[in-house]
Amino acid sequence: MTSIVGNLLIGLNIIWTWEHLLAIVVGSTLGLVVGTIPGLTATMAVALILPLTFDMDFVTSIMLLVGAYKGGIFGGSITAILLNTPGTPASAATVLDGYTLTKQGKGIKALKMAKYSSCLADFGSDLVLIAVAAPLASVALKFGPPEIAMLIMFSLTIIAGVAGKSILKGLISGALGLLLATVGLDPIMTTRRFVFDQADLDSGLSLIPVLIGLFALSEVFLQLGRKSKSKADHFAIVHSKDPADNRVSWREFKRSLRTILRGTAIGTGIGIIPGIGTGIASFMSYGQAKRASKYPEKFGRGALEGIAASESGNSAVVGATFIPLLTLGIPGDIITAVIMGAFLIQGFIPGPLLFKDHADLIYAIFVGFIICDIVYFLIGSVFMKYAAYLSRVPRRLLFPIVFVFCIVGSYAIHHSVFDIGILVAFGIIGFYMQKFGFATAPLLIAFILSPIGETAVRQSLLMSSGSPLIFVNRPISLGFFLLTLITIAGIVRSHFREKHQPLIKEETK
Amino acid sequence: MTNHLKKFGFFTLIVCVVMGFSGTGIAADYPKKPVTMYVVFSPGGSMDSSARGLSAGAEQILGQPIVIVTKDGGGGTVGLGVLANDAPDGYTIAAATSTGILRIPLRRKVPYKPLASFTPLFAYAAVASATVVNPDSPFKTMQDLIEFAKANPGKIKYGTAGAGSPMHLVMAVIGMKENINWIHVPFKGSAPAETALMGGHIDVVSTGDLDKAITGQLRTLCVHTKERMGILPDVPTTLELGYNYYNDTLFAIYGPAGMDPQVVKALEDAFEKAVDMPPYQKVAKQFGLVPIKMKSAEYRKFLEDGWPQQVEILTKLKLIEQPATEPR
Repeated sequence: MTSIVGNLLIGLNIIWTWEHLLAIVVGSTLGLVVGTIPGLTATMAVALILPLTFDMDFVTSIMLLVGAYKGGIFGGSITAILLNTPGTPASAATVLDGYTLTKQGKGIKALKMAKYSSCLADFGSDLVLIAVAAPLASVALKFGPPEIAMLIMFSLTIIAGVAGKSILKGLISGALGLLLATVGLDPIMTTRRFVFDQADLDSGLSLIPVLIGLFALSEVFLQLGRKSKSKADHFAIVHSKDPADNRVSWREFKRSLRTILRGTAIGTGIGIIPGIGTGIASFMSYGQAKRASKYPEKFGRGALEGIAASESGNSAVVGATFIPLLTLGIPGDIITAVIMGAFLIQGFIPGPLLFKDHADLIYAIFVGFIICDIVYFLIGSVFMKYAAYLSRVPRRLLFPIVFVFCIVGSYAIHHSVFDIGILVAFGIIGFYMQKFGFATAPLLIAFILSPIGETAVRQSLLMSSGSPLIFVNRPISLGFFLLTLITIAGIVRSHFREKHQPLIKEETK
Repeated sequence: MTNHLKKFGFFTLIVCVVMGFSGTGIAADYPKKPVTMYVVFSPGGSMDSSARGLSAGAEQILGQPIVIVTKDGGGGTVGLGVLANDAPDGYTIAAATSTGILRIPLRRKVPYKPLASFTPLFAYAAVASATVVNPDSPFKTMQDLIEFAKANPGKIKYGTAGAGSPMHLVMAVIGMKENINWIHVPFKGSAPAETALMGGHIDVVSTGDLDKAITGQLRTLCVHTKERMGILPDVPTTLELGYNYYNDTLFAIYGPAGMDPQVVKALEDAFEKAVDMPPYQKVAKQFGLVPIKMKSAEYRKFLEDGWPQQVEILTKLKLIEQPATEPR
């Protein structure tokens, strides 16, 4: 323990130069801005900054990239809350409660909750990275295809939690997501599926236009169809006059603290396992928070805990993805893969030797991680003040702008006009799903999870020459398999119980 | 639809007439505006990084910026499909692999004619790949691995970056020659395959990322390059081991078909100089790419000779019955 403190002090000494601190500030700001814009993801922010770092010194370049990563993941929550448009896929779960809160005039409260939970989770995950990186990394390696397959299976049970009023409709929505995810080349034999000879579909339906279409564009359509009743309604989001709606009280924070801690643990766990990612972590954290909550019926209707769960889940992934990178040389997700490129270009090979040969620099980077959390908290506070003005823009001006952003964001990801078509198609699908009472979140969750799950299931079956026993005769995958069964049993039981009891009365708004 | 096509045809006619009149003028002062370069793989990988490194040098020679636009998907065929329909004025080019021309179109239909839709401009890197195992693996040489695999059919599981990838073909060729029954587990890229190897879930990886092989974190049994690699001087090649196959994937720059020879020359000269410049050299070293300089005419010949060879290999391995796309 003392050696860690000593190393951290050495690290602090190295990082405390104006170049390094400036890199953190610039990186976080860039990440925040890029992450806020729908369609521009944190991955893009980091990939675009990478070539600029070639001539910088090692610590500066890594801090710039880490800043962009952390800022980018956090930035995604701002438009998710204010405009129903997740800035990055990582914040898709934030939309569920965030936008509802905004509609209730509590947008600023939601933003602040997102900020607190993101920063705390980031900080927690960084501490795990610093304290116990090495032993955790070797556990992560135990996650082969069968373990990942069962983990995804377990994650799919979250659908029940976000299904809305009808489990059946939620399952239909989820099944549609699974089906849509099979469009494109299959992950194992690269056979074409459901592409109808369109080369544009070979790589499948792109996630970003699907995401923006389902959430943002469908909302624009819904707003178009609504007649405004009162004068106040001309404003998309009423800026609350009640100061209690513009801040998170200590009591509210305390109530969400457990959720944040749980989200941090889930996000850290997901981050350590290579190849899973931020979007899944936030949905998992959300599902578990709902399951554990005393008021699960509030989730999706403006629960602060929902935001806390989603934002802590995705932010905690960030620090943790560096655990396999720094200890084993295995990037935890696509973004850390790009950052690994920066390590290599600078002549530092991530892996066990790095700790031995360059402990001082690694600890400087660790300290930088924590400084990053503080810096983006501060920048985020200023940034949010201006972003919150969005909530004062009249609806008739705001939604056309959102519409333009939807199109630009979908086009930007692959510079493809075809993706704009996908956006519009999913805008319409999302519109009708909501009209007929189908939740859109299950579709999206299934769509995000299924490609990883399918790949893992099929790889496992190749490894076992076709025997499904591979999923149950390995301890970790057996564990997740049992968890899945228990969860499903629980869902079915509570479903039947609800049917025989009157529903808990909704709180008056 | 027909109306749309007519309009398009008319527009093309006008463009052609205008360009016909000013053709020589355009070529002589090329380039007078920024050049757009599609990169057909996702950001951060070896294709993207090397194309960025190369263009950083080339734009100094050309005197105009090269704007990188990511058009990934379908193993690079999405971006090439777009390029095939762009104007051959030298202001839109693409960085892509030779596999987008020579291998993928054989396995599935692509929206372009591999040997007719493009002007091959310049090949700048040969991709290196290798067969690797864990450092504590009982297999010290390729011979050990093959003997074990022969004696234990269906026991060895090898991972690659995907079915039909060059890394898969190398292993399939070896398996066919030695009459081995081993299990192929495809992953999405070399990195996840290596992760599964380090976790002990598979036994061998035929990898396209050489960083762990170079640093010794993984043991290299053989490399799939034409000649031994400078950074791994003691490791034999597949050719030396008696397998008449190596990974001949190249990274290259393409334009649409029908480019002006003067524009082609300006571009190939710029990229040739850029190969020797530090931004590219740095990236090439990082990813274990072998820098090469193959100009337009020579690269075109490489592709045209390569087509029948690839058809032969893929049919022999029973991966295809006949080419899915017409070459011309």
